[in-house]
Amino acid sequence: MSTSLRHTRRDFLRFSGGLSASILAVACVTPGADTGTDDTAGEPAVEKEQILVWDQFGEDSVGVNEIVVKFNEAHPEYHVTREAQTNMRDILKTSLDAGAGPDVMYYDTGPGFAGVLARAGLLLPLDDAYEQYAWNEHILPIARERASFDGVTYGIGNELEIVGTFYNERIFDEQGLAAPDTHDDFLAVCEALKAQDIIPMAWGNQNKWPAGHTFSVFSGNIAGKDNLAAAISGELAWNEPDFVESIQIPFVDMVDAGYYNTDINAVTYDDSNLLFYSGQAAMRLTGSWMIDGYTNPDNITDPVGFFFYPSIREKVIAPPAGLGSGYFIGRDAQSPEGAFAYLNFLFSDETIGDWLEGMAMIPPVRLNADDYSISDLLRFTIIEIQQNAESMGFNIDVLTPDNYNTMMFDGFQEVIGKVKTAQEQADDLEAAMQEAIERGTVMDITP
Amino acid sequence: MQNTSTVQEWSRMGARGPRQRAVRDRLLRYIGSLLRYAILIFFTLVCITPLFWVIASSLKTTGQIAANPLGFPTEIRWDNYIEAWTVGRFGKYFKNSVIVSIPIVTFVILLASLAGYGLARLRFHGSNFVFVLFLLGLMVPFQSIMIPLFYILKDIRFLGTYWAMIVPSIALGMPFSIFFMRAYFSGLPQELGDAAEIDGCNEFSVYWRVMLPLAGPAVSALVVLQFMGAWNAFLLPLIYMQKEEIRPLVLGLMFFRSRYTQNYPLTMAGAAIVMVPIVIVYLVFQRRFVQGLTAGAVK
Amino acid sequence: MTTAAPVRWGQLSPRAKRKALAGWAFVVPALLIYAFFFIQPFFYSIYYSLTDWNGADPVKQFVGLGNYIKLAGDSLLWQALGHNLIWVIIGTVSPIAIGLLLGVLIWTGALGRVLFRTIYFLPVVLSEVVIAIIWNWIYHPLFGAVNQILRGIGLDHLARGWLGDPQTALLALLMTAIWSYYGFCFVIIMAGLQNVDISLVEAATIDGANGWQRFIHVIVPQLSHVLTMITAFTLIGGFNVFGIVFVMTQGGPGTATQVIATYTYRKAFQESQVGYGAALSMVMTLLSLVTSYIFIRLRERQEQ
Repeated sequence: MSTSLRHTRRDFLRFSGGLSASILAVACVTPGADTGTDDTAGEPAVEKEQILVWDQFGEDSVGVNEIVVKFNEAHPEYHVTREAQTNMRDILKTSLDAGAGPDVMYYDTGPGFAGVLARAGLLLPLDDAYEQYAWNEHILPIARERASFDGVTYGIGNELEIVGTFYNERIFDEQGLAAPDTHDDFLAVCEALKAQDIIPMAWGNQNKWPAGHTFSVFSGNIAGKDNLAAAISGELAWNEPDFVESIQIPFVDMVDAGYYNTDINAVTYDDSNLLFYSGQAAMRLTGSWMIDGYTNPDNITDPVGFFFYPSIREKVIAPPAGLGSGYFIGRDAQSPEGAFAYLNFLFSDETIGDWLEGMAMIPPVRLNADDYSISDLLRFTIIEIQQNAESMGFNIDVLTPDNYNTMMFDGFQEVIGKVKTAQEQADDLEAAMQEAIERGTVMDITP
Repeated sequence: MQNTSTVQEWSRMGARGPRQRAVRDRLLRYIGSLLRYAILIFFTLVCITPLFWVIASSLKTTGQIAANPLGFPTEIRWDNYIEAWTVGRFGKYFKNSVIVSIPIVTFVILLASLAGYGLARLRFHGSNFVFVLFLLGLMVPFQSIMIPLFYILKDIRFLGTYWAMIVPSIALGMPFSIFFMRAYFSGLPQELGDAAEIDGCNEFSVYWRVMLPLAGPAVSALVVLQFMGAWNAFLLPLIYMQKEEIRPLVLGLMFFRSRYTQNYPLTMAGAAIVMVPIVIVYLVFQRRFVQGLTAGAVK
Repeated sequence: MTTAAPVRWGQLSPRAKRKALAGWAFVVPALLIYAFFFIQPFFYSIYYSLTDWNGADPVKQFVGLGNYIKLAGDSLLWQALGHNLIWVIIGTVSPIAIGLLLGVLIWTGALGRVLFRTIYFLPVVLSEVVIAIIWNWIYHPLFGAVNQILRGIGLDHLARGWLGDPQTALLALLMTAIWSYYGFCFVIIMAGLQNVDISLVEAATIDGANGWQRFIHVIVPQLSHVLTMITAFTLIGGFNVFGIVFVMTQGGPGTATQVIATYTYRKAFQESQVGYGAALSMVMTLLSLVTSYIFIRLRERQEQ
């Protein structure tokens, strides 16, 4: 359930329009051309090798459909069919197990997701393909590192992303507020907004995974990049005081202070975006994958700004940055060669524009932001990632093992629901990490 | 008729003098029946209001939902249904549900009535053992076998095909259906079969020509019950029917909802599409439903 | 089991032989499919539960009772069982009580019994997924009917995210389950009431029993057959509940609504701990078997 929904929402947001916008009647009638999943869609010639792709972009994602069409034209010997799968985490493993799975899949990187599949022997090793297609030359090393488990590479990580605070510039202007420079400033902004009956921050944690990003932001800023890396690698305890504080501030103190909407655990991620679109809430702490949604006038007409969550007690900030999902190939892929060719095509020069302009997504390749017509927010993101990657922190959940993630996601809901303290959550996180160390599923990301 | 007398008895309690009694009687009866219908109607509303609300929501635009979530739609938007049907591919899922339900119902009835007949009318060595074996199946939940069944279905290459739902559902339907058919056949007079046998029918034709037609009511109750079970099944297809092309309606609805989490009217239209056929079947064959589901309970 | 004819095969008359063979022929098709797709996996479940297996390795490592020992110390399992316990208690008592109330009200003389029955029974025919979606919508924190109504009548402070609050989530799910189920109890109780001897009720009235006394001492005992049967049915259903929880909360918030079936699904099909998942499924099996056994004994006693 958790992270897999992340990538589709922008599509159905665009698709459905915001609830608050009354013009949305227009936005939601366009079902979009079928994407080839329909029985009737262009029956390919018999001799073509079929490649079935599961991804999380939403059925009508224009950008990715464009890439598929281009690939099928450029490679007449193959035929790619893509299916949007939102419940991947629920079904991918059993499908692959059953031999009913896809040839190529777009799934979350990290030991908690693709790592589980790799360890179960369900993925095809790609080390040879990296050689064959010289992917190392233009794909960033991190995209390979994050998709490698126990020394074997299984995929190509995609979607460079950062996490920070989006804010409604109109509301900020009207209230005479500015993007804060320190955590205390941030709290003052929240206080001011609350006094005007505006929800300072919209937060929906029904889907559980958004809490992981919140924790990533605060632990990066409080514990610092190196300590966070050490903790993720199992070399520093998660119940150190810095991490306890990283739970206490956003999950307890700011909840008690009323800086979020009510019913955080009952509101879905999408509904929290609605609160932001409709102007009921002034800020959202989330990732750059929402840029497409936040710059879409069908959703929100107010201008949206962005700042990294500010410094806490004058510490150096380490905003989360990393990869979202990656492409992997199933062990039983009918045409491994075709799957390699498709992956190669996905990150070739001719598709960069589709990723950036069509989907507001940053592929893991060397590129110049000025060559593309993209929003300022996206340009800002690209430049930040290119220039400051060294000092940035981590999205924890794509780096940690599955039992740790389960613990983290369930536990944060309990902390928000006041059935668990920050200290208890920190202790449980550490216990989960110790269990993972024993099982050997921890990923070492220390330099 | 006997019920009316009960009412009178009921309301007579606590009465004293002859004249007061008459007045109190009438008053009590009046209040009693007011209360009675108030409760009955309250639970009627509890049952159907949510369903009406789903329909009402499914005919709104997302804007109307936000503006007035509880009220009736100001302008009816049938497009939601068209859209759900097309982009939600409910047409395909509907077909899948039919494709799996028909063989499940047919074979459950056929196999269970054969076995039920054999167990009821043809005493043979081990027949009691066989019957107990089937009865044990009534006590074991599907969850007890779902994990190995996955790997069995995988080994025989059923996963990802309609068979993955059809065949296990038939097996799972056996215990109750056999129990049910056996009870029914046992209740039929013994002489019927004997007479036919004397006329030269063999065992099978006694069953096929004489007994099965007599079991019409039981069979139709079972048909309805099994159909409902197959149509509404969730956990089984969730595990064994994941491939997009073969998903039945209920599973399709679940995936549909997570694809369009933001478009509530569309989700409600999807729910209505799944709900309406079974409700219609229910309303038409109500009596059979009730018979099927209560059968065995009051035996 | 013991009533099988004591005679040996050779002593049977040709007609009896033919009948016996025919009997097997009638049963064998059902038996084969049942044995292969039900009995076989059942024994495999027991076997899996004694192994440590991730579902993919060619080797299933035998660990004896290892999984069961781990189960005993698994706090999530105990928490889930606790939820199941709450579920079976509230989820059994409430729908039966409602069903009894409605049943007696109609039985003692109300017009429109077919209409009421039709409507009360309606939710029973709906799929769990449909029910879950309907009630997710009713509990929706922003647009849901429950909160809208509460806000509408000025009880804003009571409005909450029903499924997101650990204090209310399980009860909210139970309300859904009860909604979908009381019609079933009602219909069965109605069927049972048809067999209640009305003259006994009348006799009790003459003896001066009031309505409640008549209900408890005359009607309920005569319904005991039916009541034990729905109780057993509901208990078993409660121990195995899956769909509503899986679709509505996925066991959340946190683990506040995790029940044993959703926990088993997660272990076996999402976290690749197939052996451990099988052990969990055996816990469910045990609960069902014990409940059934008690039910059968009760029935036997009633029949005496």
